[in-house]
Amino acid sequence: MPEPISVESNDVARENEALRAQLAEAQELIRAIQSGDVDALVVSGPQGDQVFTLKGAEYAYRALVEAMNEGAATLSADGIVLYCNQRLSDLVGIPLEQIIGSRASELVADEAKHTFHTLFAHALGGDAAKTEIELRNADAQRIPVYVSLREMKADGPTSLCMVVTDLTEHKRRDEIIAAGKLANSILESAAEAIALCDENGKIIKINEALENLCGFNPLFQQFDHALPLQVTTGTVSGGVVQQFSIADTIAAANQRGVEVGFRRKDGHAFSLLLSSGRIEGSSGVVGRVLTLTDITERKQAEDDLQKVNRTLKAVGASHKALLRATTEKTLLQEVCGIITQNCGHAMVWIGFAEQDEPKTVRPVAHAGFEEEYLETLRVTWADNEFGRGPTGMAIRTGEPCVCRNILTDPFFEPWRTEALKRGYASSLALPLMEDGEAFGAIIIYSRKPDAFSQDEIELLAELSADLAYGISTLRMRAARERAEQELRHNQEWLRVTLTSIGDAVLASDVNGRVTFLNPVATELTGWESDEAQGQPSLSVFQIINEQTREAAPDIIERVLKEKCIVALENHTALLSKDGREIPIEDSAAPILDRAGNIIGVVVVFHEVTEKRRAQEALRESEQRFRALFDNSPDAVLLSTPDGHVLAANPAACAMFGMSEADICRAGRQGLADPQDSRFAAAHEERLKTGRLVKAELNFIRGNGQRFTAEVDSIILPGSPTRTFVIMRDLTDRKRAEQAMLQNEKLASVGRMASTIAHEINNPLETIGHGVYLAMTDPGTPPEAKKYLDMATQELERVTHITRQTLAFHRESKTATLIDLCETVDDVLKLFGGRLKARGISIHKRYAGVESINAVGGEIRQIVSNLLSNSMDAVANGGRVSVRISPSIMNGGVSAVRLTVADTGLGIRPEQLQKIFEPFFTTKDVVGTGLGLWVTKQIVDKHGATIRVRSKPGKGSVFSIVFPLSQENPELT
Amino acid sequence: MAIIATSARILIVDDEPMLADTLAIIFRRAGYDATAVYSGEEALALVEAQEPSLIVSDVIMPGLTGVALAQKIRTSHPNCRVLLFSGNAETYELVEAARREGHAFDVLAKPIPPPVMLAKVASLLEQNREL
Repeated sequence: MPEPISVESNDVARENEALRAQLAEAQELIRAIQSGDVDALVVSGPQGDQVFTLKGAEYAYRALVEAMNEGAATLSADGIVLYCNQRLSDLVGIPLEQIIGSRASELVADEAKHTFHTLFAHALGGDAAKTEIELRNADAQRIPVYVSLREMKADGPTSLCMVVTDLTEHKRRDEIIAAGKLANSILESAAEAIALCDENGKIIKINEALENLCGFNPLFQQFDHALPLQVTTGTVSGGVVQQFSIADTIAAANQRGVEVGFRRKDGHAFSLLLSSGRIEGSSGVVGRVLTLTDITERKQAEDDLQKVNRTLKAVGASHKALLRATTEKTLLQEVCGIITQNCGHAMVWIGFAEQDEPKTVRPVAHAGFEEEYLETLRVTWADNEFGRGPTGMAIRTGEPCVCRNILTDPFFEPWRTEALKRGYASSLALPLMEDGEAFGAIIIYSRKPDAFSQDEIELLAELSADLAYGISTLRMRAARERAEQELRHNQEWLRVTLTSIGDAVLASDVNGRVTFLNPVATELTGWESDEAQGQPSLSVFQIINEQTREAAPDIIERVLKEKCIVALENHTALLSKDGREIPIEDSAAPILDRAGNIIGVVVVFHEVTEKRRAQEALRESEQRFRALFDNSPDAVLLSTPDGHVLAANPAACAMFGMSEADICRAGRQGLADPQDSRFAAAHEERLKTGRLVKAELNFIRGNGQRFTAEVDSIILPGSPTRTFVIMRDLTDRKRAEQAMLQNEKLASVGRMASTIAHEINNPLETIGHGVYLAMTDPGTPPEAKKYLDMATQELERVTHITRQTLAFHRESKTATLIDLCETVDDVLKLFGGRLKARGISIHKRYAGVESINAVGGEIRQIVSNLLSNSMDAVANGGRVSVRISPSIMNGGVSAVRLTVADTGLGIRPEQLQKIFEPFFTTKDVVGTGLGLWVTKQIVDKHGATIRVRSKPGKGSVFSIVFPLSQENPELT
Repeated sequence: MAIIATSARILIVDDEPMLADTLAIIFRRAGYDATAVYSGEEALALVEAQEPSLIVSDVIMPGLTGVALAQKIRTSHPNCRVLLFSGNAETYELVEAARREGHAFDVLAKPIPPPVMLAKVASLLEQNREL
């Protein structure tokens, strides 16, 4: 294939078109001349414009034919050349004289003769025809031509006009064009990116693939500028990167398959395979064609594979490290080193999850580019901002965690700046697992984003599993060594202890044979340690009951049987080998192995004397006494009969509000109430009988307060100089009794009041009649009427008092289901006039409630009392609210709440405590002091509760809660 | 004080004679034809002869109670109105029992100021006339 094709092919095509047009023009001209359409024509040529007139001018025609650039001839009807121009003669290389008079077909190549004859016949038939055929020249060479034959309509015999156009040049050019097109289509359809550069390295032609690769149209740009390629020579790890230069390459030998790297302007990186070849023209090298094949994916796959291989190597290396490792620290360090070296990652560190409050991840080893990165870390495994990076996640979830791109991963935020500073682009954290829990993680950083393939992660996970196992093993080994050391230490410690303690120690095996005697034991038993070894314990440790003289029960046998600590019985004596009898005491205990199995018995004993025993008993008794004394809820004083206090227990200190020392200093003189004359009698009784039972006496506390206590006191029988005084504070009880008494008094006063009220109603009515009659009697003097008016007023006051007290229906015991809303409405109706007269507005709010079991009249009275109190409290134009709503009482009982609230004077706090007491009133003239007392009685009777809240100047709220379902036994 | 145009007949029943008598006087002074008796039985006997427009009766009395009297009168003399007044809480039981049997009565609580009593009686008699 001719090489510099495409540049020319366009020009060739243009020329070709021009030639075709020229031919067509010539034919048209001839046709026009023949048909007489044209009388004259102007032909432009090298000799300037020539004008031909055609009217029967043989010469003119000839001149025209001669001037044509085409070969032309006139043929007779039988094919003889009558006339031929010079151009045709030149074309076939045969002199004019030879052609004229010969057969035209002589000029035609043999293969084309048939076509020519057919053409001739057509033309003779009046059908102008043309075709491409080949002529034969003088050297028998073929000449492609375009032949046109047409009948000449002239006077005389029929003749034909033949025009011959040389196609030799055309043919060659067509071929060139075809080749050019082919090259173009190859160029366009090629998957490879192809660029043609001129000798200066400027891109002069590209295909679509190249434009795609560049990301823009680089036509007519310098190749190095449009496509900065990087050539890596040497190995991957130790390679040298060079910039590709088209200038250096232009005249170089053809290159095939050079790997180059290319980073597009948008940052996308490509691995490319570059091939290039020279383009030579006649004058030497005219340019270079460069072909770029995208091998990025293949390269990635290769890289991944290579990485996996390296990781595999790392796994292998770490296996070896595990086998070699003696300490955890060296192992961790070595594994970090292996991962950075073998896998080519930028940095590796190992962190352990601390069980502290912030859940710190403590770096324990690292390798690779680090530069204090770890100190800036602050990684945790808590579920917070610092624990959601790959490390924290891996530890929390126990799964490998990848940060594909540190630049963009939102969870990497806390560490991004520091990581980017060091060129880390992605990271992988692998948990270190033991028993399903992560105790740490290996964290690997790479300089490439998304550097960890699934295969690599799996292999690294395997490595981390191996490492975790290795760490566990090392720890176990260390723990075992520590335990062994401790054991040795303990054994030594025990041996020293046993030989140096003051007690005798004897140990036996499970068969009751002596295995050990300490020095004290050898002294007491009279047996040497060596001698006693293996002997039945009964013969070494012979014990008897001092009193019965019989052999004491075999304590070792008992321990073996009962598997628990057994104390020696009292009065046990050891019979030594040399016949001494030594009183001993203490205990025997089983020796258990780790699994709790008995592997022996140890008996610890020491010599005791009677005196020591007595001391022990005394101490024990004192302890018991002390415990009792300290913990007694009653106040206890230990004293002398003449009134000195020797000790006071905590309860006594609390009762008197004094320290024990102060109580002792004060003595009876300081504690007793000097005004209480009963002390003398009590004292006397105790002296006489030795005891005093439940005397009530008055004392004085540290703060000067008087109180009554119930006192029990005894003189200790064995020691007449000691007395015990036990005291119980009666203050609370007294107060309770007083309160009860008061209540009872109040109740009976109330009962009496209401009885009186009943009894005086009839007399009052009669008095009323009398006064009225006297008043209305015409004979009554005006002055007497004044007195009667006074009497009427006072009568009204008495009436009011009895009404309040009486509870008109109070004694009625019949409870029925009543509708509280209805009852309240009834009462409100009764009060309607009075409320209106005083301009008091009533606001009712009733929620749907069930009926309550109650005595209707009593409820009416309650409501009346509360309403009239409210009316008295509010000024004219005030406001009283009545609400009824569902409620819940203590213990979840459904209930109904009745609230009467006013905007009145309110009740002062100190009055608030007394308002339910009888005869307490804040209303000087109109108050009976019985309304709320009666109300409270009724409320109590119904098992209801009443509460009051009040603020002076703001108003009061009384609310009563009636139980719903509960049947009040007193009521039914 | 209201002036009573027609002399309506009123029977007063109370076991306290002084109370009954003084009330009768008050009624008479107010222009009514009032008679006082001291037991339910007496009252029952007199109703036949006098046919009063209104009976004002105490409730708790030995023998026939005011409530029982009222119930009887209501059956026998439907045109005669009965007004009960009482100073005793036991009244409630009786009135409530009557109410349960379908007989509702007004009960005024003693002591009642005479002007109040007179106003109440006047209004009852007014109603009676309208009926």
